[in-house]
Amino acid sequence: MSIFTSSGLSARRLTSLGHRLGIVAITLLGLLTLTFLIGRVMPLDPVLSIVGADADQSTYDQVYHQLGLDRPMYVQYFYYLRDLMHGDLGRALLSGNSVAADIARVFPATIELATIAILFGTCVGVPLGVFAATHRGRWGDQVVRVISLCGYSVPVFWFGMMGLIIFYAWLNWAGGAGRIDLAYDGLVESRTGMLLIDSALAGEWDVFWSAVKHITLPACILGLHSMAYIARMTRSFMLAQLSQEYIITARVKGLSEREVIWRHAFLNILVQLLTIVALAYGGLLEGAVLIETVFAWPGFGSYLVSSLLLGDMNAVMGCVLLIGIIFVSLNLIADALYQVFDPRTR
Amino acid sequence: MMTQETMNTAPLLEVQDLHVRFQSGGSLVDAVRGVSFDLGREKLAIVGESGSGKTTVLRCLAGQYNHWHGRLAINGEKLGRKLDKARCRKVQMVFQDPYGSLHSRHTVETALAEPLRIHGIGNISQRIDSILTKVGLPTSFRYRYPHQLSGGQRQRVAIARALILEPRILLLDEPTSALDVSVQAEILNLLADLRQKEGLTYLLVTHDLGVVAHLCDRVAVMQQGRIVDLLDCSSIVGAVPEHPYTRMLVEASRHYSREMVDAAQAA
Amino acid sequence: MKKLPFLLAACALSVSLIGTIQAKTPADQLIVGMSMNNLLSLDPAGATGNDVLEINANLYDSLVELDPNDTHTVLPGLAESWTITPDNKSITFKIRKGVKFHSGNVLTAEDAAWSLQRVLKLNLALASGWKSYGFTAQNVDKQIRAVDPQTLVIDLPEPADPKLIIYTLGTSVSSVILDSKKVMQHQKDGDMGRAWLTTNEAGSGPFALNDWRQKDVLLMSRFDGYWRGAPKLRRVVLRHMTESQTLRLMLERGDIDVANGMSVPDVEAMKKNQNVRVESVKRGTVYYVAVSVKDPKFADKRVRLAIRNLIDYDGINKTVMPNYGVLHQRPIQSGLPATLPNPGYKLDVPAARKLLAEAGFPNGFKTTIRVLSDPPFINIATNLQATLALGGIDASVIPGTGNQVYGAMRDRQFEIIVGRGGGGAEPHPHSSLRALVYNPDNSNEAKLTNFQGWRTSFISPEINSLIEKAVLEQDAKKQIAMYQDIQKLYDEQVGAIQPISQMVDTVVLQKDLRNFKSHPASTTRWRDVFKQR
Ligand SMILES: Nc1ncnc2c1ncn2[C@@H]1O[C@H](COP(=O)(O)OP(=O)(O)OP(=O)(O)O)[C@@H](O)[C@H]1O
Ligand SMILES: [Mg+2]
Repeated sequence: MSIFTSSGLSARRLTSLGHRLGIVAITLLGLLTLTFLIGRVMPLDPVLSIVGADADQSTYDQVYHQLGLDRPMYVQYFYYLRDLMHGDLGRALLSGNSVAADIARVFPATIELATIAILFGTCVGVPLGVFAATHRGRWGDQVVRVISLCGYSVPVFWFGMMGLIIFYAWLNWAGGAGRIDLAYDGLVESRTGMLLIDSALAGEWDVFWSAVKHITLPACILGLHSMAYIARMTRSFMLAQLSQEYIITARVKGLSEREVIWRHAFLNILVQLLTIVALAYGGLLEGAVLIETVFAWPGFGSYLVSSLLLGDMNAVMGCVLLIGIIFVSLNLIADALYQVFDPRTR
Repeated sequence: MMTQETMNTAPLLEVQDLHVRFQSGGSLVDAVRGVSFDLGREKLAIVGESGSGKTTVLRCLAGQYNHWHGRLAINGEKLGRKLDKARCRKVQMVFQDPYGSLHSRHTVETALAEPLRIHGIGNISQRIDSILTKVGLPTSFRYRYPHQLSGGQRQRVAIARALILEPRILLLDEPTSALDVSVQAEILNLLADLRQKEGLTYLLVTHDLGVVAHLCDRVAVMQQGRIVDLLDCSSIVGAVPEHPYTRMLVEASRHYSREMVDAAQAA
Repeated sequence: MKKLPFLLAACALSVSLIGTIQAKTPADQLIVGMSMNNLLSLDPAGATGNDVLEINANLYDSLVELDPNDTHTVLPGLAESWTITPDNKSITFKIRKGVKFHSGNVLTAEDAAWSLQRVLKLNLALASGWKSYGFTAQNVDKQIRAVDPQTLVIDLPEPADPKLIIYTLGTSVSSVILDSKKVMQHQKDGDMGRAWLTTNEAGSGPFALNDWRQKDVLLMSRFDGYWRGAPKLRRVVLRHMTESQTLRLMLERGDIDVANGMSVPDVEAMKKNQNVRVESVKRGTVYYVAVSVKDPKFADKRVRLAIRNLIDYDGINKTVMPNYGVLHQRPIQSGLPATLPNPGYKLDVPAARKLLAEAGFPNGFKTTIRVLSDPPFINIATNLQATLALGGIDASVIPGTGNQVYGAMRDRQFEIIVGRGGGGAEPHPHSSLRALVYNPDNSNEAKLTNFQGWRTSFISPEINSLIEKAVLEQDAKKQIAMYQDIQKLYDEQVGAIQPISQMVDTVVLQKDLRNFKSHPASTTRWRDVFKQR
């Protein structure tokens, strides 16, 4: 490939990147505007959440003013956007904490949970899907179908409760609610906010084991849905590949069935699969309120919901922005993966 | 090689009373119902309407299905249901669509090296060079991906891929139907050349009697899973076939095939 | 696929190895599971809700304390003693010597005065109570002052019962004493440390705050320099848990010592458990059905009386309220000397129908019930909906968050509300009446939103003046008689707020916990708690 064409290519890629970033910015702005508007018309009064139902009117008015709610809506919105430009997500109306700091506090717990969940979902879902595809129409396929149907339709709350009863209360395999045994709380310095990593970094293996014990059950239950989804998608992707002629070519070459499946067919669905997994992961990163409630997991989902219920729109906007960014970046990553892994786009 | 073959009395390839039945969504399809033919050193073509079971016969021979009934044998040796490495070295297959039959994420080199590796054949790099040259491609093409090749080049790679294990029998499933007329001619010439140089036996599936005339000695006509007619190629050109279906095929292709043959001869 | 059983076995083995680490709460730590959803701030001037009361009662000290066994008994705290002038206009507190804050600073009367002044100057949620006694941001420097490091004087701006103020000092979260020097070090933009105190403390209490991660965990540890002597527990951990069943499982497994806010079925189940103790304590607030007198229908006393006859008090208290409340029908909290016995209101459909017919609603009418969507509120509301229907009243239930329900009530935008209220924890009739009945100015403009009486637009000049007089009455017997008159009047005039139940709070504790005494005013103190193992 000549220098000329390759530089032309990268220039084209640059403009397409610029184009894409433009779309991203507009999407996020639209998302924020919508959230802002919804927040202002929502019949939830943050002032009342702060001062309580029994405060007198002068206190109410004072707090109302302090929060800037007496300014016209477009002014509030303008100030919000201006602060955002400076990278300031503002302060939570209720606690007065910086929203960025709040999110930085709750998000690692969710990242940790979602990561383990998606690992579980992928490590179980992909082999199941491949198995189902290669055993299409036979009992193995049916079993996988039943498993993924369960994964889809299982009431997470109920499953979480059953999990706790069986694995925690009865068998004592899993830790109870929370991220760690309370006796260990505060023992390791928070560097990443992810206890598994922090405790490993600190070499506190007791703490690490406690964290593992606590995260396994909620993560697996949370991962069930992703597992079902990934298994189903893997199955259909694999079926599409297995009917292709290159698969027969591979067999005719004399490859063993396992090599045909994993080295030929699976290689071809890898990028598609990564996209699916990335999007499922994005969904998990939004937080899972039910699991977080059952397992008293101090994560992003419960933060978002409790902020919403208390009418704390600053916190909600911060969360919405983060979710938007997560999804946009996961999409960009998925696109990039296509570019990198698919020779045809090179 | 030649001596071995002439000494052996059994035909190179034997197909006797082959039956294949598929189950698709509850209903049963009898794709092949009692096909028999022998294949010596001549070239046999199978023609027939779409869905008549041609591909199915080839796939049985290539070891892709294991639910057939009947008898398949190479050199008198009965073939089992399961594909083993030995059979891979004797029988290879080239598919209709050179794009679909090549792995889109494998380079030419990977695609060609893989069978060698599996069968424990050394000298991989040299063999790749020589096979590429044989099918008329520059050796530098080994680093390309399928999408960086033209249709004809892809089919050459597919043929190279099939030939790299030095099989005796080459199963060709409509090897040119996805290609442009002029490119078809190139590939047909290549196949004709290779047959001569490598001493190959072809079993060719096609819709196109022009191709048959160019490349084969005998033609089996299939309809609804059966061979309805078996005739010499020479008879196609001049005489009027007996079987009505064959007659129809011949007539339909007459004009077209002449053009084809001319193009091939000009090339 | 042949490897699958091996894999499973390996998994099971590794999991069971993990499982050998047995958890049991450490002997010197108290582990509390509770919902921290409403814990937004620790600032004594601005923190609402009962959770923060309990926390601050252990991080801070107050001048006086109410005896958890008999809330009428006022016990000394930071104040060794106090005297009330004969004219009831001034209280003088002798502040204990040698008390140190967690910072090491010495606690003086100046700190006490500064802390109480701060509440009014910031004018946050907790200022309301003080303002109702006549304190203002302007007069508070004069009214509450340190005469010397050991003497604090509180002059009442308006005539009132000084007992009431002493009760407030013993029960309100705004009455704890802050380390003024420490707080002022963290002042920002003249906020008197408000931002800092939201997540930090500057107290002298038996425990010091280590870390508070909102809606996750709050950690405090023993303050060795505590003036009463260091507490027995080394550490207290509050863990945010909202799911009742999770609390129950963790209690059963011995991973928490105290569970707050469990659902009734779980509490009932725990009562059968040998290893735990269920403790209920009455609170000052009542569950009630309120109507808006601004609505022409409910302005008619006969309609209000009909509603009173259409509440199934027995049914609600038997089926819905166990562990939430006990039958109570008077506007003054139960258990006070002035409280009259329940009047014995009953569900009486024929009487209600007759009253409605007299009032011009022989076929009833349509109305709405606003209510919190949590138990027991929503259960009370559906029960009420059914009994109202018996009287021909077609009520639709509008569930919402506390914010929505009480917001509508403050805006006087409602017809019927099922709610909870009744003022502070002060064991004084005035506290209940002020919150539920008193309404000195019924105009919309007055915006007396802190008075539930005003919110319902119910106004009775006789009752108002009696309330104002009774709180000034110095003769205890006469005062009681006056409060009883008020209750009789309220019964006759059919007030807009009809109490159903006195609130009860239930905690479930491990059996080995000693000296854990739930306080009716939510100021449960952990300084003497230990585990008997
Ligand atoms: N895997 C399969 N499952 C079910 N039915 C099949 C399967 N493969 C082929 N068939 C059916 O068997 C019959 C023969 O198919 P085959 O592919 O051999 O036809 P063909 O002669 O090669 O046709 P064409 O000329 O269109 O390629 C068709 O009716 C087809 O639908
Ligand atoms: Mg075919």
